[in-house]
Amino acid sequence: MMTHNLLLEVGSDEIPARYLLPAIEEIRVRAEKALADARLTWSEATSYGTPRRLVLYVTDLSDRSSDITVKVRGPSRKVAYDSEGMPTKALQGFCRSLGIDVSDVVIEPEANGEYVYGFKHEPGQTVTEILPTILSEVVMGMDCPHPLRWGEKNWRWFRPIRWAVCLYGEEEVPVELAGITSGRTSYGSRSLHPGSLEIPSASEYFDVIARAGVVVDHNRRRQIISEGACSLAKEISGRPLEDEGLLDEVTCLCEHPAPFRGEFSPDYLNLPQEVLITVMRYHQRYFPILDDAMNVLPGFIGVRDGSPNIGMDNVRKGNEWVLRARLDDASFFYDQDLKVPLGDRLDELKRVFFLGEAGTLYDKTQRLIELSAFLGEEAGFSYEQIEKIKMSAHLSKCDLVTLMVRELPELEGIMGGHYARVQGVDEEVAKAIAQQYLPRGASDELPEKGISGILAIADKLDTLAVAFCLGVEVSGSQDPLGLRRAASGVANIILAHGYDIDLDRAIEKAVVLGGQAVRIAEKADEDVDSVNLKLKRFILSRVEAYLTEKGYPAEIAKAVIGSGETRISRLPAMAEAIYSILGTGMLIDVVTGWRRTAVLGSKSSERDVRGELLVEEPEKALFSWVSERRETLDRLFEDREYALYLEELASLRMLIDDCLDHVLIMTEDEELRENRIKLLGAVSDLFTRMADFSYILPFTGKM
Amino acid sequence: MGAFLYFQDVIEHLEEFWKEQGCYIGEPYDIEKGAGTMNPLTFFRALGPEPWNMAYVEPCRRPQDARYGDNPNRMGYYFQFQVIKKPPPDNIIEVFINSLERLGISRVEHDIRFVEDNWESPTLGASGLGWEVWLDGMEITQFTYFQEMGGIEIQPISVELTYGLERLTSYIQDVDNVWDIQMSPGLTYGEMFLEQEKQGSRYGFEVADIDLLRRHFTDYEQESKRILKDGLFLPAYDYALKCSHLFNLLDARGALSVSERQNYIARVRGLTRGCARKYCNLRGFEV
Repeated sequence: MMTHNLLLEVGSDEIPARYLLPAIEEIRVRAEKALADARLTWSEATSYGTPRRLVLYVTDLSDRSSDITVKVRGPSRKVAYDSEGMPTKALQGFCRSLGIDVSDVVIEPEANGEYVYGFKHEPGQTVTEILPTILSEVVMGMDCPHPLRWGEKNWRWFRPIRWAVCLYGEEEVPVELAGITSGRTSYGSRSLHPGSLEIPSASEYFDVIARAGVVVDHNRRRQIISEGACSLAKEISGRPLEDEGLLDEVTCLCEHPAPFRGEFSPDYLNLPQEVLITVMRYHQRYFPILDDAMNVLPGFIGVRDGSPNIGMDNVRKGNEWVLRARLDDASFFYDQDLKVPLGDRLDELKRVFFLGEAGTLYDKTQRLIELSAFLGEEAGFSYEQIEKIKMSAHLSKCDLVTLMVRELPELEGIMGGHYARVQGVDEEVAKAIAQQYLPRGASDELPEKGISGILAIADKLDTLAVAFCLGVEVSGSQDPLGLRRAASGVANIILAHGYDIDLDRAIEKAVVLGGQAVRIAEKADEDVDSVNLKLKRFILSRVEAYLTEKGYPAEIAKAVIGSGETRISRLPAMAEAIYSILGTGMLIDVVTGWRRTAVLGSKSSERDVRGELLVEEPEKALFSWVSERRETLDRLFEDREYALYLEELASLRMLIDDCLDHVLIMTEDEELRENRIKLLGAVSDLFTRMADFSYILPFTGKM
Repeated sequence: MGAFLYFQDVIEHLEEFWKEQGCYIGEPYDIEKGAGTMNPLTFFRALGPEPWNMAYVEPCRRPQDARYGDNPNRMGYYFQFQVIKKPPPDNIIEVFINSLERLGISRVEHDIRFVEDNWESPTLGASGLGWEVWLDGMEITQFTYFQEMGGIEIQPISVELTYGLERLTSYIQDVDNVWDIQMSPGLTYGEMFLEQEKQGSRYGFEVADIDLLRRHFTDYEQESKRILKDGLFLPAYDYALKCSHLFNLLDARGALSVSERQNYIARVRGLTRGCARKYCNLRGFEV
């Protein structure tokens, strides 16, 4: 068998940067699956891409698919042979269809009689017969999140496909893609080699396309940009801001990257660093340059698509011109904004709506003052601290009506904190304002512990409460308000900073306040209860995610959440205590103790055990242990000494076993029976407030 | 950059270029509009299978974007150069780049980039996918493949190119401020339009009579609906455009709450959709 290399290049109008890296990966994965399904063999498949082309390269691809033999079931023996044992028409027909002789069949017994089997030989096909169909399907079947529809057949892809090259060795393989047929004609860089070019063979593609000004390997482009940015920044003793997302995006916006350094007037350094960085980073896709102390330097790294030499002065000058205009705007906004004390903007918030009909940002501010103060009290902050929390809530939304934030919405919060600080507001308050939207994503930093965290929780909890009151549903990818992120934020801040906040009480407060905003207060109590419950479940699901991300098995996360402990910052310590006794006899003792008491104990919800009704020694012993130890147990539990608490529970096993082995719980005497059930119930409560141990059963080998 | 071009030269070169590409060089439409797409010769002709190729300058009014003439490149009244090609040639991007070269902007000497930007006009029930085109980091053109117009999925699709004439010219002339653009020898953009910008800003933000605008909106909406029933979709569309402009004024004036705003948009969209349908019926296009 011969092998050759395969090249497929799909040329298109500029593919949006955010889709390119996933597309490069997907075309390879799809191709490998298709080639394997077609029974072809190869050494290695790689893929590359630029905004204008996706490239698949497969080395040593076999020139034929392998032969296979398929066993096919034919008629039953009775039908296949007549009474003399001669082949019937049915058998002859079956064999004809497989292209075999009647003597080639075998007979195999089955449950309902014997059957004839024949072997069909499927010879391999040549690779050039196979490729046109499968490659067309590989490309056109790609997952395009927001496809463009074009052409007479309403083709759909990222952007219109304009050409394709498909070569097996030197041979052209005609693949149909959106109405065009592949050949060997490709196109170079729009600026460096605007014309067409011929690709002689698959393996020569990379040289030819490189000469046409295309760096087809995205990793190579990334490297050129990253190294270029570093050395250009070094010229002014700085280094480019590290930003993987920006690096990916810029890599996907060019075919032939040429980094350059531009400058801006140091006068603009009066602007807050965040403003400078946001303008450069988000609006112009430049890398800001920082010095060793992380200060922004008056320069930037841009990346041009095209020649590193020709016209570079035009490009630099043009980009500097654009940046200057933007920074001019920003300076104007900054000066204007500072003329008004932040707090004076409160009335303006009455004109800005929040979540459609849920009142205005002014209303939200009033709710935040109340909610954050409540949370601060719950978490045990001092009077003085709570005054600061209220002040930060009071000012929290004022920056949303500043010119700067209206122009650069990414800076919400950050500008508020900045303006507050410049205008002489308390530093802690300014910081809380700046950090109220943290964390903005899964890997983002948390607000600091202290009042910052409280305001950040209040902001998110209010949004959640209002959205849930409005009946917003989150499902799958449907989460336009970012509620999942908000709930994760609430859970992560409380858990990571250990605020001793009771989730039930916090939710209840937030929903009462939020409910007034959307006027569900007039509705029945069940509605409010169901909102509370839905919101609680929603946040607890994020708590579970937090715990599993910390490395606890999902069962343990579910178990401690199932304890009903709503002071959720305690859950990690509870999970840790259980986790640390996994695989030990102690866990078996605890789970057994729980199992034996919970079954009968759950028959009653009353817990008023009467000592005088206990007659047997073992039940007396159990009761006296619980009575004597209750205070200690409560203290251990409250003090988060969960490991010691579990030890206590484990030590109960013997008393429990003794009681259940020797005392007839379900006795005829109703009074004694009820009392014993209450005792078991009281004991099982000691376990269930630690965890719902039914989730832990699998770890003890008992189901 | 090539030879110095006045504002009028930029327009002339673009017209010449697109004439060579088979476009009819049209004139602006005589009703206020927020974007060149609203010209009926784009809105209606984007519908249906019949080819359509046209280029024209269109003045746009966006009261919300007005800045009293204080901002170097943002105005409430400005000009777009609009190209519509249906169906677009396969090499439409190359053709577009050639149009920049006609203005002296060489693809080798400059950085021309296509950055994803999808376009939507809720009042026209229109949307498309495309890019904003960057010239050395500055957005100079919106490049859109229309997908939907008047709430109708279109086939074949058209390409719409919208050149920002002020941006482009200030770059070519190397001026920092649109008001300094030279229109023709001795005449600046500021001399022609700065006073209009100042008055327009004050009117839109401070002075416009909200009740009157609301009343006229309702009047024009009624008239548009009434005559549409009679099959007069072109005059009905004129009234829809007037409604759209009144809505923009109300919006700039800060007179609309969020839900009211949505409601006004939906009302205008209702009118333009109705007009699009009637047009398709008349031409015998399937909807």
